[in-house]
Amino acid sequence: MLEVQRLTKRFGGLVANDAIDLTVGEREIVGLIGPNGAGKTTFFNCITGQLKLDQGRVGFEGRDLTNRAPEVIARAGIARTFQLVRVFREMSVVDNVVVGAFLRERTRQGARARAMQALKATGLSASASTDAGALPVALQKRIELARAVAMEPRLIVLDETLSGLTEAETREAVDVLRGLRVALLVVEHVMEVIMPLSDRVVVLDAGKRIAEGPPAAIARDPRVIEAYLGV
Amino acid sequence: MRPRTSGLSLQAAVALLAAAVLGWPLIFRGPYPQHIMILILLNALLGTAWNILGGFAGQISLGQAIFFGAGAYTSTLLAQHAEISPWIGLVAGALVAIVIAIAIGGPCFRLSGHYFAIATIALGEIAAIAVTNWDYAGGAVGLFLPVEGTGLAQMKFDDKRGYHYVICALLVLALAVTVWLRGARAGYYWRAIREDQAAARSAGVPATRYKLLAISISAALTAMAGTFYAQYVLFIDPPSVLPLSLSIQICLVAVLGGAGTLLGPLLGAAVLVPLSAATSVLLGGSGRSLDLVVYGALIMVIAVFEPSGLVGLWRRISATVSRN
Ligand SMILES: Nc1ncnc2c1ncn2[C@@H]1O[C@H](COP(=O)(O)OP(=O)(O)OP(=O)(O)O)[C@@H](O)[C@H]1O
Ligand SMILES: [Mg+2]
Repeated sequence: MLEVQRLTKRFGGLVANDAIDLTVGEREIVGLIGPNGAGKTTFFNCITGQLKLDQGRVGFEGRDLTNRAPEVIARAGIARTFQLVRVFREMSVVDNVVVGAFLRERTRQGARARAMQALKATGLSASASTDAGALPVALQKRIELARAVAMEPRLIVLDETLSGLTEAETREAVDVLRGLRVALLVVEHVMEVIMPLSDRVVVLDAGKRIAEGPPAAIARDPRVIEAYLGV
Repeated sequence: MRPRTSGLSLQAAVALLAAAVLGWPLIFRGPYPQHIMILILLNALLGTAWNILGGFAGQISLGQAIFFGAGAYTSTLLAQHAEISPWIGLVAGALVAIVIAIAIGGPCFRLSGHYFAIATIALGEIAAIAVTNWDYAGGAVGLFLPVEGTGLAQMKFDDKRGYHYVICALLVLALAVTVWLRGARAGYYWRAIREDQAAARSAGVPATRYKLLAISISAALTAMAGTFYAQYVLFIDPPSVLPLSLSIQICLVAVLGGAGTLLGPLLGAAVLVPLSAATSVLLGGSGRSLDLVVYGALIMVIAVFEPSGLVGLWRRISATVSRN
């Protein structure tokens, strides 16, 4: 469904993404891991249109989305969250989600109904009318997730949405994600979070793809262990 | 959650206010109070138009005089050279303003935050200079409006009452447009853009298109005010319809009252117009440049101490009162 071919992104002399290949299938959950500065967020920003890639191609459901505007990519069916959480702070929780819902609805009633569903799916119904900026970060991350869900995407890319959550919150969030029935591309740099969730894991290190495979194999892969421990 | 006055008492207050405004020229027969009220309503209209772009969509314009001038000049030139009714001129001026707005927005919306505001200042000054050197439009001398009789069809009246009700109607139009869009997709998208444009775009908001929509509506309403002004004063020249001080005053009306709120610009106009009339009497003379200094200082004070303006202050006070 998502096919990224030889995606390359440079910042001056630094090659942040070096010819990365990656695919995500229908309803597949793919984990993208790597140590700090590996290039995970850069990769995300290239896929979702925040950054222009230097080389490579981003295909999605047969369409070429290479270097398209973020709103075009959103409409095509890819929703995202941000590593540093970005909610509309002075809007209520439900209004945050309504913004996403308007992608698929024309009327306010329709968008509100869809937003309320997304809030229910993410366990936020109780905070619907609170200002988003007044909530703790863990809940703000969930607002981002609800906003993404309301966009009725076919793929959600999550940039460290789970990190910084307590163990209980993480478990809850994982349940929410599994319940969504969409494809997920999940970035984390903490392996423990991503391993039980993912069908397949891709490892980046210093801009290069160094490994790919089922979580169990990746956890034993010497190259991955080396990248993480820096031996 | 935000403290709110109960729906009923707010409705009652608004109804009372509307009745007072409508009855104003019948109660106050003198030309001066009538004139002040017309200025308040005109500024309320201008502030409401600014608010759509600056308050809701978060794009601070300090060049609204461009659109005001576009309306004033378009309708006046059409009347002078082709004897076209000011009502048609009103619509034509709005259309011209929309074209200018899109020409400005296209490149300038690539700029973020303060750079957009600065660009609009520069464009406003360029527009004033261009018209000053444009002989067909009267240049620096200005244009007198041809008066072929008075009445509603001419949008010119023998006494101020006619003007009062025309500006009331335009203000109601602007408020209706605001209420309608605020609750629609555009209103949500504008607020999202104002809060975080990148996040908004990732949520599927075509930011540029919606900012162009905001500036177009804002420009059209501002141009209508310009046409009205020309009929009211019967003379226009660059210093009266294209000055920077007007652009800043328009911004101040909305910011003082409460940017991004429906009633803010009305409140701002109701406070600022009498205040500025009083100070120009006190300080004497044209005082234009002094106005600018005072306005600029006021905008800064509000930005620092009460960003949501008088409406925000009111909400805070009523919350405190209802708590005690
Ligand atoms: N806008 C930018 N300009 C220049 N260099 C950048 C920019 N963004 C990222 N980089 C650099 O690119 C590299 C990859 O950064 P990126 O944020 O993609 O890593 P990451 O894998 O997401 O790391 P983390 O786990 O810390 O989030 C880093 O060396 C970073 O300093
Ligand atoms: Mg990152």
